[in-house]
Amino acid sequence: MKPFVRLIAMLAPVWPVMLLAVCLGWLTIAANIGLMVTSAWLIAAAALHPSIAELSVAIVGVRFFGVARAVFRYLERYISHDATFRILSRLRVGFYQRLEPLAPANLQTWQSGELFSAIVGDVETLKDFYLRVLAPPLIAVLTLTGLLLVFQHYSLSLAALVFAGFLLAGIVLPLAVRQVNKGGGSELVAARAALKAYLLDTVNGMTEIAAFDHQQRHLSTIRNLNDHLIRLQGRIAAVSSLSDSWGSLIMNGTLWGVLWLLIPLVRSGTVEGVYLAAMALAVQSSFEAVLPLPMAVHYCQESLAAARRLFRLVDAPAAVLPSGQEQFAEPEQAEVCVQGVSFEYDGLGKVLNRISFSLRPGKRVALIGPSGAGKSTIIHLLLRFWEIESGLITLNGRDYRTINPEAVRRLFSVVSQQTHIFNASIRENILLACPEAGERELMAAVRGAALDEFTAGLPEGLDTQVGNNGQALSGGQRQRIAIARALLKNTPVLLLDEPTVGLDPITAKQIMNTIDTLMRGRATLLITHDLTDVETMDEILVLDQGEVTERGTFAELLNSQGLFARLWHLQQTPLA
Amino acid sequence: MIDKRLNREMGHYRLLFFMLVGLSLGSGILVVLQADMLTKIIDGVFLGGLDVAGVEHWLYGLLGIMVLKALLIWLNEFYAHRLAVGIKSSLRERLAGHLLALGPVSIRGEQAGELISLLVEGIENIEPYFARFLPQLVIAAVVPLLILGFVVPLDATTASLLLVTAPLIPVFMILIGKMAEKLNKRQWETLSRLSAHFLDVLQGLTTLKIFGRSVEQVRVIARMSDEFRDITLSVLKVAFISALVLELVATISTALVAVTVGLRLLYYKLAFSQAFFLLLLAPEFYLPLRQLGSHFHAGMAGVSAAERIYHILAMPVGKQHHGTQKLVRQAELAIEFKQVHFGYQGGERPALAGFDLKLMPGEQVALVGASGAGKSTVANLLLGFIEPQQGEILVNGFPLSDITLASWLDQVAYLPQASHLFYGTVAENIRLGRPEASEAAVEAAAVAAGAHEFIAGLPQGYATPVGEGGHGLSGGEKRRIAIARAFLKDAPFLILDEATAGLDAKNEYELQLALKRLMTGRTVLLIAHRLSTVVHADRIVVVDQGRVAECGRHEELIGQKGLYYQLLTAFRGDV
Repeated sequence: MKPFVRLIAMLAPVWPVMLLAVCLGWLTIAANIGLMVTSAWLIAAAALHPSIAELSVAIVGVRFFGVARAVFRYLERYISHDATFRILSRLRVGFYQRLEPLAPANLQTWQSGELFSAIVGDVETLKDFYLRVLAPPLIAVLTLTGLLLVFQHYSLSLAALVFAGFLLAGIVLPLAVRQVNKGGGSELVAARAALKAYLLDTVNGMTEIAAFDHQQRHLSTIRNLNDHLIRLQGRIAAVSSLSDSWGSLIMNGTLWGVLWLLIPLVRSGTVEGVYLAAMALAVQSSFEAVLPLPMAVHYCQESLAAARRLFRLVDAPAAVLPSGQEQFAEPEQAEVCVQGVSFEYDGLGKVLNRISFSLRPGKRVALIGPSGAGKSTIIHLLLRFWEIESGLITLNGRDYRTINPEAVRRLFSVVSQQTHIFNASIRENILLACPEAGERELMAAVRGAALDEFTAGLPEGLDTQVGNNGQALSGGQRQRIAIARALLKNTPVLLLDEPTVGLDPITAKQIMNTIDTLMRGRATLLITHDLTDVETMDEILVLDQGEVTERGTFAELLNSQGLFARLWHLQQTPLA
Repeated sequence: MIDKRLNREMGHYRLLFFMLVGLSLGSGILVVLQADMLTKIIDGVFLGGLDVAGVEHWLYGLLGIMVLKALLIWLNEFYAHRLAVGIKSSLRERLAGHLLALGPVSIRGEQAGELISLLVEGIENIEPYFARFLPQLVIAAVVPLLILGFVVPLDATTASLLLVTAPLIPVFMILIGKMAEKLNKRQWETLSRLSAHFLDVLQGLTTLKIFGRSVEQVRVIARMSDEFRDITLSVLKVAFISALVLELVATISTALVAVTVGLRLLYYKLAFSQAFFLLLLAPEFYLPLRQLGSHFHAGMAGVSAAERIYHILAMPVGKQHHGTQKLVRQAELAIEFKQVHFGYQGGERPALAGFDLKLMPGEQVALVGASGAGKSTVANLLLGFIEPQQGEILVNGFPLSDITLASWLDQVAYLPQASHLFYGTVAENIRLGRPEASEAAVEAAAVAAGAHEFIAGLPQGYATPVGEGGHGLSGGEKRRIAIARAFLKDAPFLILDEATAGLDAKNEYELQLALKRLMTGRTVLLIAHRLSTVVHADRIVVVDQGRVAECGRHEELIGQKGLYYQLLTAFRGDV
């Protein structure tokens, strides 16, 4: 569907209100015309010195139109803005809802700055579509129709002139603006998004920028991006100022032409002299309906560009369909079997090749291997972020594909290197895992993750805010929050993706001890590079280039003199 | 209502501003002339019985005025934009420059999303303040007086009617403006909060999904979005009501002028030409005041944004930047910490307390200790992100605070805990170490860092885009690129921050070889947890609670059976 049509479709729940707003907008202009026409007639008629009674209706009319215009304008603005903001609010939520199933599989190609700019900035841009694009043409047509009905009564050429004036100001001028501005709107949206994405990259990479003394370099790129944005804005401003000035010229020109045509008509008696001033002012004030049209074209282009970006974003197909039963009785214990699973990311070569292993209650499996060997992919598949291509994963004997992804994830706790820490308090960050947990459970998790000493030392304790992406925390503290989350979630399966990365050896040991008790009775998969952690594992899988090259217990692998044994010796040598 | 700091931004654009005001005054005069011409024509035809030929000269005069008016409109808008653009650009550059000068430690408390929306939308909001609001303020003060000057000699009654009603408009505006200002500030805060929250949710979407919390974020987003809608609407409601009041005053006054003038015309107290001229001028009298009302709220959005902008611009930048001595590239570097104290949040969270350390030229010193012991703070101080609150750092005997930061950083290569890859190609990312480096030098650095092999395997080799939105790289690959940066920079002093965390043993071994090559012949400060990397250091310094607890070679420290021994045994897994 075309973006224009889709945007119109969003009007569905509020269209009667929007229609009312259009009517009110028209009445506002009609009241203004009424005010000027009756005033002019009043003065012209008074100049002929009739009795006061003949003027009384006009006097009432002048007062009525004076008040009505202001009231209509207020109502029109209030109603149209209220309806538009309702649409925008629904759009924001709707876009998030469409985005949510896409993560993380189909959002990898997007910079989060772009995503962010789309949801916040582009949705805001769409406001103009509902306020400044749709209503003005309708109001202009209604106004013109009324005016022509009156004018054709006196002279067709007069009506034709007014029609021509409206046509020039309302259609020819906007089209000319569009021609000149071609692509300007979408370029502007793109330039703003590029500036935003670059600024985000700059803020996130501040450490490197400061350490390499690259501030000037980044500043000059920001300056260039800003200049580009400003240049585009300047182009649009130049066009809009020209269009405003042409609009004024067309309006006044029409008034001038109407006078030129009316003068002989007054002389010949076709038009009574008393109407001359009223008709001239009617033409002048009616142009209020046409003058916003050139900018409507500009707003239309800008909002369509924003809409196209938004739709492109949310129309991507989800990697995993939320198929399977929503109702899935959560088992106390879980057994996950991975059988002959192969996987590749869209055409980037096989990452996993016929992998098989099973996670059973109380059993600990370790996965080791060089980076890029596909270890993290296994976690993504187990969490059903991607659909497997060949092979089978079962949960308590049931095919993964028949279970809702949400239900699958409920059974897993993950401690990974990529855990995101939200800009909230430590407490809120941990409670993310289980919002309904009580204070006792929370404190137990905090202690288990060896966070208690740290938080006790903070003036605000657990309620300390951690800043953007947990920046106020050290690498170790971040990881401990992730561990506390997993402790709190308390699930039958545990996925540990290098859980002690960045921790000092003593804390790492403490954490591994805590995890050790946590693993009891649960099925555990540990991904690690630290070979000292795998000694107590029931089974160790060595992954190399997507394939399991060795498997067995610690002792078996050491005896086999394969890759594992070599890695082990590597890690031990410096201490020898 | 008027922000003095913003007004000062006008600086050398002041001339442009007065030109704008002049153009608007010209337009005001043309309005009066047009009304005069129109009155003459209509009076001549309606009461004077003239035909087209009789009023021709007035008609052509009218046409001339109309063309001139269009020209002035064009010039006015063009220069208004020019004025705003200059100020916008300079503010945006200053704000971005200030953020970069503040550095990573100072902006840790700020939200990236909020900073970015301030830099983009916040600055955009400044435009209407300069392009519309401020010029209109002057026009609203001058043009009505100008029109009044024409009305007074014609008809005292109408003049007094205009004079009495006109002050109502600014009075109402100020009353309503006070209310709007508070609301505006709240709207800006809500918008910032909403932006920051969106960014946080988007960046943490995978984590939210793992915990099954991503779907319920819809509720949070819906709530915030509704909150934003409500507050925007309440701001606008005030704007609409003020417009209603202003419009009522203006249209009712116009109606009053029409009626009173009409009645006096009826009783021969006024000529038609006078009456019609007054009717045409009455709406023009109120127009500048009404337009001020409509630009007022756009102007206020700029004032609210300015508040935040100046708040950030007021954040102090460390004084190290004021060091004036240029440090030429040293062949050898000795660094000394003398009783250095530092605490975060203005000293509230102490990190270093009386830290002493001496690094001899070419010496490789390893810093070990529990997390939070103060190791990263040492690196932050050496990189100029922060500066000692007490004590000093000496470089070859010179106080570091006397040296320009740029010439000091030129001597330092830094490998951070988690390297950030910028959006750009692999080669561009390596060139961070030395932007002017040749392609051959980049490749040589990659070879030395053990990165060449995997880079060559990427779809476009060195031209492959990486960073956010680019080709995903593993932790080990990112680190190798960071090492290549350091090789390319070839600085005499090297700081390695947890350079080997998060890699598997095979990678680690290869990286050790690369790092060993990198460290040769340089003064090195190594901050490490993986003790296997520190064994060969010339000296191991154990940091505890912001002080040096132990210091010596590996064997010596083992013999002491102190903190280092405890750390080591934990690492070996036989506690």
